[in-house]
Amino acid sequence: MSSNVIEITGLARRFGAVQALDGVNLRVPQGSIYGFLGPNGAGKTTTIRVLLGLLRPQAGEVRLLGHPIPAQRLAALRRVGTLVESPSLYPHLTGYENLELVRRMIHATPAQVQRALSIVGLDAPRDAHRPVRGYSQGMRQRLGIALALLPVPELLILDEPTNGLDPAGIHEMRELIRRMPGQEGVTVFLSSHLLGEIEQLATQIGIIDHGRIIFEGPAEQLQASYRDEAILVTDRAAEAQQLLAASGWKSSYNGNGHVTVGVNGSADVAMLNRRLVEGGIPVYGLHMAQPSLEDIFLTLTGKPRIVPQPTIFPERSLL
Amino acid sequence: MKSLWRALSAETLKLKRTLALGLAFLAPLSIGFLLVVMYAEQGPPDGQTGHWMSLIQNGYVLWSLLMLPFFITLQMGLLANIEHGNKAWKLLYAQPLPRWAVYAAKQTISLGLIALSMAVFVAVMFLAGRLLQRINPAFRFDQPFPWDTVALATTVSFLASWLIVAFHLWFSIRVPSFVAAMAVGVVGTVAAVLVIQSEKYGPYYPWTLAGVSALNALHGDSFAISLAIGVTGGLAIALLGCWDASRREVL
Repeated sequence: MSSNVIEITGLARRFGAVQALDGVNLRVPQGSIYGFLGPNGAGKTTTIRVLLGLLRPQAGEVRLLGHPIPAQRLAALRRVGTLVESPSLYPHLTGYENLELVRRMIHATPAQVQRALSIVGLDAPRDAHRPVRGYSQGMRQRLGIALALLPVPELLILDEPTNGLDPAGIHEMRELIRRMPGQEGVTVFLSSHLLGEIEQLATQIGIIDHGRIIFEGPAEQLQASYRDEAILVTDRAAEAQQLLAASGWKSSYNGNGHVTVGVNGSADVAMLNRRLVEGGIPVYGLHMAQPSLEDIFLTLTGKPRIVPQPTIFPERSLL
Repeated sequence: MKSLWRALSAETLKLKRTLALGLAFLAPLSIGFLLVVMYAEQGPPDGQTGHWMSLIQNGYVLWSLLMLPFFITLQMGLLANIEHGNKAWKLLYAQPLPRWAVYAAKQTISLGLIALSMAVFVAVMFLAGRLLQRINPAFRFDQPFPWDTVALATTVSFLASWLIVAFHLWFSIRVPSFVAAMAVGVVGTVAAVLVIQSEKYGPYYPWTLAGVSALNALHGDSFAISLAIGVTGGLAIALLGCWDASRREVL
């Protein structure tokens, strides 16, 4: 079997006039935490629904744990745990009964129910045996994860798992996801529009926008493919930019005396500083900055990048 | 069959603490209450014998012609709403179970709830007669209860109701709006009050099939046509529902 637990090739799906997925290609390596990133409406949930056989593809090939989807959907789903958007829970039943219900459907053992409750920290009787309608949002989300973990899956598909959680709940959820591959041997396919979430957890990243994959690879590869930047602070920005351009450096003015310069490592920064000083340009500050995943994401998706505007110099002094 | 059994086991648990389960007892109890009030108010009919049959026939008119079609509409709406309201279709259909089994389990549970309410109805009629006998011994409800006749009427009425059970279940699952499901049932039932008076159309109209079958069985008349329509129609719609569930997408 291939070492990829998910393989999608040329997947297309249209809803009326909207092309939701347009030739999606995706590979999820076994044992990874795969961050599936994209803005709202990019096609993340549609991709997941096709993976689970909830939607039919109009073109392309989908393989889940080696099984073609939708032809061998049931064989694949036996080895997969899912949480698609908000958890589907029955509020009139207790947390335990919600798990028991799914246990009966998948023919799992009662011990698996206890294990799932224990992993998400809902095994105390006061939590497990009260109706879900009395649960907080965080507890519901954890119960949703417990439902996904119930079959002891090889692959966990989580769609926006931190939706509606407070900061403490988000932290707890991240820790839970982080330890999945190591402790439980589970590959995690994590879909989110939250960059911070993906940045902190993912070992592999796929970025989708307008139904197309615009990047796929290891998280480090994504960041390494972008050059470092130096942020220069001066009160003679225009002259500094002219001088830098003459020496082959590309720069952009961010306002308030801040100029961003594309550089190749720290030696390049030292050379840039010497050039400016030799050219009589006062340098009040100079530091290197690695572009964040957010910067890269915005660049890839063609969204405007908003640079923070520090107020070191009054705007008028530069005009 | 293992898949159906698993789905059925899950559906049974899902009924716990639901209004649908409570209504299976409350609906026939309300008919019993009406019968007791009506008979206690009017007193024993003069010069008539066989008071059990009078009570049973009045009970079946109220139950199978008026209450049952509304009750089925409501029950199917409530059962489907357990899934619609909690956006649970994506959970159900992402399980390693064939979708036809999930639908067939819902169909079985629906029929089970209707069978339960009918059994409760029979018990309620018996207890109503016994209570009336205590209130006024002139009622003569101390005579033997006609279990054979009532069992036949109840069985054929239950089987003939399958068509609207299957239809309302499919409609309620297909159309997430609870109001729309109720509207269809109300229109069907109100029209039934008129259609039942027609000898030509009464035995063929889906919402009168249970009532016509029960009353014909009680009177010793033939119920074959209404029973055949109810059972074959119910089976056909149930099978179509399984097929529809298998190919349906969950958006």
